Amino acid sequence: MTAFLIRRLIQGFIVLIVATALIYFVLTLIPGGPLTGLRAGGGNHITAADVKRIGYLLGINDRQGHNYEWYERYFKWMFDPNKAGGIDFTVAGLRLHGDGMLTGDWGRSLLVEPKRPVTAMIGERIPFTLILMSSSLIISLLLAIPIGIISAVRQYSKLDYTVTLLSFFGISMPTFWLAWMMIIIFAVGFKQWHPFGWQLPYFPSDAAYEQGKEGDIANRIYHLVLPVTVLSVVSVAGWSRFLRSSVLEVLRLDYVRTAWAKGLKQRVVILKHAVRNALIPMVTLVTLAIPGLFGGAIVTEGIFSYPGLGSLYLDAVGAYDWPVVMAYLLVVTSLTILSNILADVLYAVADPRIRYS
Amino acid sequence: MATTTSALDAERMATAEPSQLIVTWRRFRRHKLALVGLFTLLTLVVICFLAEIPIINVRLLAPYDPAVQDLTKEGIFAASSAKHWLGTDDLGRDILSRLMYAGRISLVIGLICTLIVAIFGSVVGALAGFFGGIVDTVLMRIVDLLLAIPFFPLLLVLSQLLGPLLGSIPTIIIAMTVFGWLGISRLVRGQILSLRGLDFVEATRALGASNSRIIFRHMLPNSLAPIIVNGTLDVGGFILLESTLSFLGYGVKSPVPTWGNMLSDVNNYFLNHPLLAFYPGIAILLTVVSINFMGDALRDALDPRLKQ
Repeated sequence: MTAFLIRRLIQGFIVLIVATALIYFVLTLIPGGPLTGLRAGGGNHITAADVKRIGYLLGINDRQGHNYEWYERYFKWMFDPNKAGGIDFTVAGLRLHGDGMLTGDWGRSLLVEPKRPVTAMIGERIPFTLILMSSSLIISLLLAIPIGIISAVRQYSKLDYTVTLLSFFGISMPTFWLAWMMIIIFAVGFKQWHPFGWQLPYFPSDAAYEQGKEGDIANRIYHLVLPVTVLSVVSVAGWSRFLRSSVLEVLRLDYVRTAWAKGLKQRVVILKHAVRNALIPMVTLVTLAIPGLFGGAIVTEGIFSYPGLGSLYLDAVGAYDWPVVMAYLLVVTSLTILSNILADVLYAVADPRIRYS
Repeated sequence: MATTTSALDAERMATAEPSQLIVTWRRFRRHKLALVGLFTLLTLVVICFLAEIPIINVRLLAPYDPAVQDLTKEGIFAASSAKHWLGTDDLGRDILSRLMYAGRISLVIGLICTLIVAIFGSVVGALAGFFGGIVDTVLMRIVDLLLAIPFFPLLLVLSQLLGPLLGSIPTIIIAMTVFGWLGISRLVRGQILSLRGLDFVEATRALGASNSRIIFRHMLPNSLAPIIVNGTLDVGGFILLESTLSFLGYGVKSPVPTWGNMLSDVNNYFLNHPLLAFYPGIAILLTVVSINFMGDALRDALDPRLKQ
């Protein structure tokens, strides 16, 4: 297992390098490159010196504005031994000196929060996104697992038909539109309508907490209700459908028939024998859904003005804020690759038939 | 001579099985939801595509020109009436007409992207599965690599950078298809691998058929069922993706209406005029859900293991 883990981590690192190189080349080699858009999008704030500075940061040109060859750029961006900052230390006569993304120098924001270090901006936003995504993951699982099991056990019942129909709508849902509809109903409508003079429990549709209440956990949860619901709809629908067919498949197997024949209770047969095995493929499905969740988080955070990575990225792309954009892509690609590795490891843990050695 | 032929025909008719198409249709129509989906989708397609007769550009079903504005006080945000069935938007444009024209763009983009990824993905998958070895390794590593990249954030940048160069519609088609072919290529590769060892392929090779003939005349047609199912579901996926990108402002740009950018157009008004936000979304939802109903039924109908 350890050997497998090490091999998988090395593989993951190589994939990360190649994937980021690919992203980097595509973005910098598009005719005109990122700097053209910068001048067009940034308007008058952006001086020629700024462009030169950003080009230097992105490894496109040197300090004087002279362009590097295309094959040098990625390495200059990642790690440049000629730059002054960053790493500077000596190990056994080998001097390591240089600066770039690998040393943690991610540059400063241009337009979103001018002059602020990108690491600080990303670091500040990551917890928000992780809270949003993990709440959504947990709630989706808590809903999808029982729904999937029940509709498999009661196959072709009214309940099963209803669940199937709803899950079709769930996977076909334009989430941004769902978010708006929820805002119209639960944030605005519930605040304005007073049936029988009651105040309905409305939910906030912006920010992560009320001004001045950042320490109040209840207030934060209150603000999470709508975004988490929107982010979870698609996964609840998809996963419960998947689990339903997975349970149905397992229920047909011989060992389940044996369990019935032994006279075990329904609850034991289904939960202990069938569902345990049916859940194994879910492990892969759920971990592989993480990259998609980052995409979903962009849309959801944007609509609910939730201060996570996604809304930062939306602002950055819109403003051609390249240091932020590149840093976001690097972080999210790394997290995606890590979750792929996690999927493999968890799969081995969950399924004793699989031995990586 | 004539008698022999008709005798043969008679014999063939006696033993003939119904064609694949008829069998598929019979099994497809057992799914009530799929029939509802087919009916809904056909209705939507007919309404959208007959909004205006193409080439000569004469409006047929659409009551108004979707770009014509009416900025008078009575013209903007008009409620639904006999004149404007679904009302008008902030610029006094007729919502129903815009929905029809938008539907054409959204549906066509979904179809074009699906065609591109189905063809490209099938060819890549077939090459990898057929030749195996280094070809397979290289192609599948590329697929794995692209699968490891979170594609959605990248689509936004690609659209931002390519948009001004190519125009918004070609840009969005390119951006979405770059990452869209991966699933199909894996699927087809698996199919080709399982077909490779079968006797009929050996027989074809023994008859002297070339590699490309074996792949394109024999193996790919035999892998058509999963490609069709996957492609159907992809149309829905692309329509959803396009609408999301257009909504965020990185897809098809105004004045060309799509369901997605109609929603982004009302961004500042939707709280006061919720119906303006309701219609385009419900159009997307109905289209995609119909497609998904059909895809699910097709999967059952085309699965040879279920043949009775």
